[in-house]
Amino acid sequence: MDDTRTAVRIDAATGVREEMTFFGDRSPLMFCGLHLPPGEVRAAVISCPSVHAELIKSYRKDVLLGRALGAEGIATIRFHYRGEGNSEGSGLDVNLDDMIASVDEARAEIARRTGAVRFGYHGTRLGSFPAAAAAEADPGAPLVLWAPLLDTDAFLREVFRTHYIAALKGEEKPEPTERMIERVKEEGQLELLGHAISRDFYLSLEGRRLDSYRPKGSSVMLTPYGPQNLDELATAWETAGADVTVFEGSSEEAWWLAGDATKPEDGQERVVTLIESTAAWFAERLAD
Amino acid sequence: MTTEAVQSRVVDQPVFFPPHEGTYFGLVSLPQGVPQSTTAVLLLSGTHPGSTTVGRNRMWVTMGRSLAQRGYPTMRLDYQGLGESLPGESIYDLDNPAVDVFREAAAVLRAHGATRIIVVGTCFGSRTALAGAVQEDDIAAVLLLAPPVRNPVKGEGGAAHIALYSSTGDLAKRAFSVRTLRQFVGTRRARRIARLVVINKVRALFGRGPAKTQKGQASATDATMGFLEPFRALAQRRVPMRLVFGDQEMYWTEFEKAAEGRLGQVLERAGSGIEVRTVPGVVRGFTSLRIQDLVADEVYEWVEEHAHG
Repeated sequence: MDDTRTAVRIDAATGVREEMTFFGDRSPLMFCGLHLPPGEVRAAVISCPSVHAELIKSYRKDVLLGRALGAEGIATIRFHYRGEGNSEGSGLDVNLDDMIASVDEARAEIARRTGAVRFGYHGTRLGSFPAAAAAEADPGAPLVLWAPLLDTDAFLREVFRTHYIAALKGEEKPEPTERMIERVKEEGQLELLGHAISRDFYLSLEGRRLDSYRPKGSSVMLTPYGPQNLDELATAWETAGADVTVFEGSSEEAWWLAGDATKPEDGQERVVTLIESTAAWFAERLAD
Repeated sequence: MTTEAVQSRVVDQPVFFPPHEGTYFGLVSLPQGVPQSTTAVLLLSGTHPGSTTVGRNRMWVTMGRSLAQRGYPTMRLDYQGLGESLPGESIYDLDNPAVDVFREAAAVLRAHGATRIIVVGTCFGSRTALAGAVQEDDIAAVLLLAPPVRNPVKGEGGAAHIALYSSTGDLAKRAFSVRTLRQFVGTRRARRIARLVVINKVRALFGRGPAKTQKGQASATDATMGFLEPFRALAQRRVPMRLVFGDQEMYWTEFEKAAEGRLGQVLERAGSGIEVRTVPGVVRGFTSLRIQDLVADEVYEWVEEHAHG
């Protein structure tokens, strides 16, 4: 650990040590937040965020979850993928396969720091894929997915549609989605809602389905957003041997619009409910 | 220069501050391998859910690292209650800028060797920039990106803005356009907005205004004291300031109107000490790569111009 690149704060109430630092097996390094409970720690949660506007929008909730888990004696690592958020690297190098692979590094880091031997995985939106992949590779590991992204093709359609609607307010006629897709493949980069999207990122998302992962033997908690129906995913995973709970306690508007109306989330009932329920769920399943 | 090359010449240091309390969180981008300037830059985002250290398309991250690559230590931060910071303010509004975090962030930059600080703020961050800068002695220059010069009154939205800033003739022309008529007939929302515009315009015409004037405000379109007072104070101290707006945005229309009142007097007395620029489009929200690049260029130019006093 490079002390000059680490900020530390101790929670006066719980004794949990919060560290903000950079880690990784290779350059560019990833930014992370660690929640390290005092005493012996045997379990840790790896929290996998989404990307772009969704990363920003879920950021505070991820912090609150890390703090709540720390209060339960469970360590957490929250991290930003290479090229995302506050991590090093270029945003144009982000792709879903690297995101999935980076979970191994995050798990190794929290294990190294705490000695934890049992792990749970938490994913939000596109982060559901890295989390589910990690849970599949770690049989029996508990898994929580917030507003999971079920089908990347549907997600891309939703984002393109949102971009098209936003562009309708402008002076020029917006570009059809099909043309934008051609362009990202030809030119290597595309702008969507003010974010630069690379061809690699787009191609890494094509045709991916969350139910292609099979978290066998895992306890899974799914929280839908808005009108999202998770029954099909729940059934697929139950059939594959997981124990699935769908928690309806939270709803969220469109994630790709990190708008500027600010009401800090800490005291919002739906956020408190989501955090407390998730932390309690993990605590029950990661307890000794 | 590639992002990787920039990264190799910059290191980000996370910091909880103030020391021993750790109420807020920030990242200081520091130059590596190039001489470090004694002028530092403080980037103050607007507020929105989540975190304020990243920005759309990682705009604040890129800007902070690019400035550091040029030799200027640069800090971006989470306001209290956001991102990694501790719980705090129940709501942020323009009347309640984050002066405490400004003061503490400036102290962090001084601890990294800064003797002069250039402040860049947008939206809520621009109000914090003004209110904070007034209280410090070593502010070299201030750059405000899409600063709101008046405070929207609670409940006032686009309809009231349209009523305030559109002439009756313009409104009539728009009302009878085919597009408007189609919308008016078509949707309940369009009818509701149209009704609000008419109500607010009638109130404005009869001197009651769509927005209540606030304390010290001469008229509904005047700059509010929360903007005017620190802005005037900095102008009197001859702190160079630049304001950048998009020529299509609401805040620019409000600025132009406010400049007809007391704000205009401040601008006139300041002369070349205050620059006002527009770029095509809308700056607020940095909703396109083009605007992000234009704004970044403004920031880099401003910092280079004022880094050496």
